[in-house]
Formats: sequence, C-alpha cells, structure tokens
Amino acid sequence: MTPWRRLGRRAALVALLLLLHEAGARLLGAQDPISLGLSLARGGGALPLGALLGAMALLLALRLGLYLAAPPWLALGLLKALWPPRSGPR
Amino acid sequence: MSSAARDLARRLAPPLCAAAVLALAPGWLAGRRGADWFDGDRRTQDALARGVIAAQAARPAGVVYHSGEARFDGQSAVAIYQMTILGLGQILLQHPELRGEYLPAMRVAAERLASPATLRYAASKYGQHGVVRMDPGEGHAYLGYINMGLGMLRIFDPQTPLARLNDQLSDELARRLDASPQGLIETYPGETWPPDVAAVAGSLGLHARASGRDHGALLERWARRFERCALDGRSGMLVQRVAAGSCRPVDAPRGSGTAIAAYFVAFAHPALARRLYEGVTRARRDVLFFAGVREYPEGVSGRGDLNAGPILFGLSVGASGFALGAARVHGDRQGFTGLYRSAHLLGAPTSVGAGTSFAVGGALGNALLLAMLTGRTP
Repeated sequence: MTPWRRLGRRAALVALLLLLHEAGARLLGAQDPISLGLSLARGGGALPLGALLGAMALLLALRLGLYLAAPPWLALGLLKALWPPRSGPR
Repeated sequence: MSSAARDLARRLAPPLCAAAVLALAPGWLAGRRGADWFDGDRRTQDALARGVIAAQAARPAGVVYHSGEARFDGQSAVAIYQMTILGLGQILLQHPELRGEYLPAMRVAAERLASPATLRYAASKYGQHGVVRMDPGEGHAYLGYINMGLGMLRIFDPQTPLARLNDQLSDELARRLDASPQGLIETYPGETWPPDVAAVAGSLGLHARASGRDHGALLERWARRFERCALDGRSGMLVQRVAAGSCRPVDAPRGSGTAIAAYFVAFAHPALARRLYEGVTRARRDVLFFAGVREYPEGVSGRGDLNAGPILFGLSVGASGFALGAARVHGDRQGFTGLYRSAHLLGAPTSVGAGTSFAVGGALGNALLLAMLTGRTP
C-alpha cells in the first residue's frame, strides 16, 4: 500500500470516529446524564446504569483519542507520504 | 547533505514531528473557543445560554434531581437556579440587548430559587426555611446562594416582586455576618462552611449594586475576620469547613471552596477575592496547554466530596470548573484558557437544538459552566 493510501485510510478512520463521537455526544447531551444516572441507580438495575457509565467512558475515551492521539498519528502518516522511507539496497 | 546526516534526519523526523504535533495540536483543538469565551463573544455565550434556558423551560418547578437525598436534591436545584441567573445576568452586563430574551428565564429561575419547596432540607433542619423566617441565633448561610440570584435579577429587573425578599434576606444576613467575631455564620445547625459564607458576602455586594444600599464598611470588617479565620496561610487556600462558633478547621483547605469563594467574593470585596484567587493560581497545574486545580494542597490527601467531584491526579473537576469563573473575573486570560481547554476536552460541548450543551454536564454542569465561563462583576 502506498503511503498516501495509508494516510487516506487513517484520515477515513479518524473521520468515522469523529462522526461516532458527535452522534454519541448529541445523544448524551439531549439527556441529562446525572438525572438519568440517579434514576437508574435508584431503580433501573445495574445493567442500564453500567451501560450509561460505559457510554460516558467510551465518549471520553473517544475524545482523548481524537484530541491527543489522532493528530500525531495523522501527522506521522503525512510525513511518511511526503518523505517515504528509502527502499531497496543501499 | 551527507548520507549519514540524511539517515539521522530520517530517523529523528518521525519522533520530532509527533512530539511537535502532540505539543501543539490538542491545545489548539480544545482551546479554539477559549478566547471567544474570555472576550465575551456574544454568539458563543448565547449558544450555551439558549441551551440552559431551553432545559429549564422543559423542567417542572422544584428539585431537578431525585436521588432520595433531600440535601443533595435541594442544594443542587438551588445551585442550578442560582447559576442560571448569574450566568444570564453576566451576559446581560456585556450584551444588554439580550435582556428581552433572558429576563423571562431569569424570573422563572428566581421564583424557583426563592421557593421554600426547592430546599426543603433547610426547613427540616431549622423548623422553617429562611425565606419564611430566621430566628435569632440561626445562621441560614445557604441563603447566600439564593440571595445572590435575587440580587443579580434585581439589577436587570428593579421592579421584581422579589426585591422585598432580597432586602429582607440581605438585612438579616448582614446583621449576622457583622455580629460574628469569626466573620462566619452557620449554613445549617452545627455546620459552618466558609465557601457558603463567601456566597453570603457576594450576595451583599450584589444587593448593594441592585438597591443602592452601602454595605462597604460592613464588608470591610467582615473580610478581615474571614481572612484571619478561614484562609490557610501556608497554601493560600480557604478551609472548607470549620467547627461552629470557632476558627478550628474540621476539613482541609480545599481548591473547590477556594475557587468558588474567589468568584463569589469578587462581587463584594475585590481585594480579598484577589488573595483567594492567588491561592487558586498556586494550586493550578498546567500540562501541555491544559490546566486543572488541585483539590488539596501538596502533601495533603483526601477523598473529596460532591463539591470536588471526581479527583484525578490530585486535580478536581469542581476546583477546576469554579476556577474558570474566578479566572475570568480576575482577568487571567492564560489561566482561563488552560482551564477552558480541560473543560472542553472533558465536558464534550455539542449542539443540542438551537443551543449548545456540555454533553456530560447535565442541568447542573451546564448551569455552572454558564456562570463560570461568563464570570463578570457589575
């Protein structure tokens, strides 16, 4: 696979994660996670409460990934595309 | 360039590139709106305000959360209504043309804030809510939060029917504050929390602005006693709780209480607020353009509480969030921007309807952030 193609795949994956993140944030933002969590803690059972906490943790993990990991990952892909590693015998 | 030099450059380029991007990109991505918030950009402020107003309109009166703990349910509702009024009022100080859109929501929040049904816990401790009656010897410092909301409303709505209650509460609280040798009054029987007293003082500052009454001399006397009794000299932080009727600490100096007090006191006594903010600044930690505030001073550990919220690596969500308001009222652009980046990263702001909402904040987090991100004194 060419470096440009690899960079394109990375960019597509980041774009997909961005979309997933935006959908999750809007879904959570339309609720009140504190209120929902309290009512689930009182009578919703452990599973729905765990699902809510899991969704919040996933959203946070996505944000950390998109803000902290994705930029250098894309930048390295771009560097490799612009300045490909030397191949063949020296 | 020689072949060896090219090889070295080729080997060093990836880690240097990754380090440079990691050092610059996350801070830039998370802080893009920080300058807009600090500068009071109307569109940025109005989007969150609209989100908070819409959420309030969709809720019935009374408490917002139903945890089964009357104290948490009542106090969180008081905080939501108070911060909604403060946030909207602070925006109006800068953008008075929005008065027609914000004032109805401020009035609704104030009615709910002043209703004894919102904080039934107070009546369960004192026998009656302080808005109904305050007997001699009773502190009722929780009224500072309510009275701050009423004072801010009154600045923009001088004819509000709640003006009389604002006068009455201010008179009663001022008398109690001036009579205390420590500059402290109880929130509930046997409980004295200096950050609550900071709200009482802040409410007198707002009352002075709204009514034209002068509390200056009283607040000057109060500030000296309060600082001597409740400010920890070593850390510069405010002690979170003291034994009733004394200056004996029963909790550590805490970042969350110091930061919210630095914001509240700015409405009443700017010099003391500045000293409190210096304590916040000393407790702030900056990492890669992001910032957070320690909940406990270095060398002190604790488990925090609801005011602190989650604590990660010693930095608490509560202290860091309240510090945003303190940073803005004290004109600390750098501190505000670093804290904003953290709030943006962890709060997940997103579009909801016509407004903006921090996805993980809920009603409480969004009302608090509205007040903190727009922090400004009249």
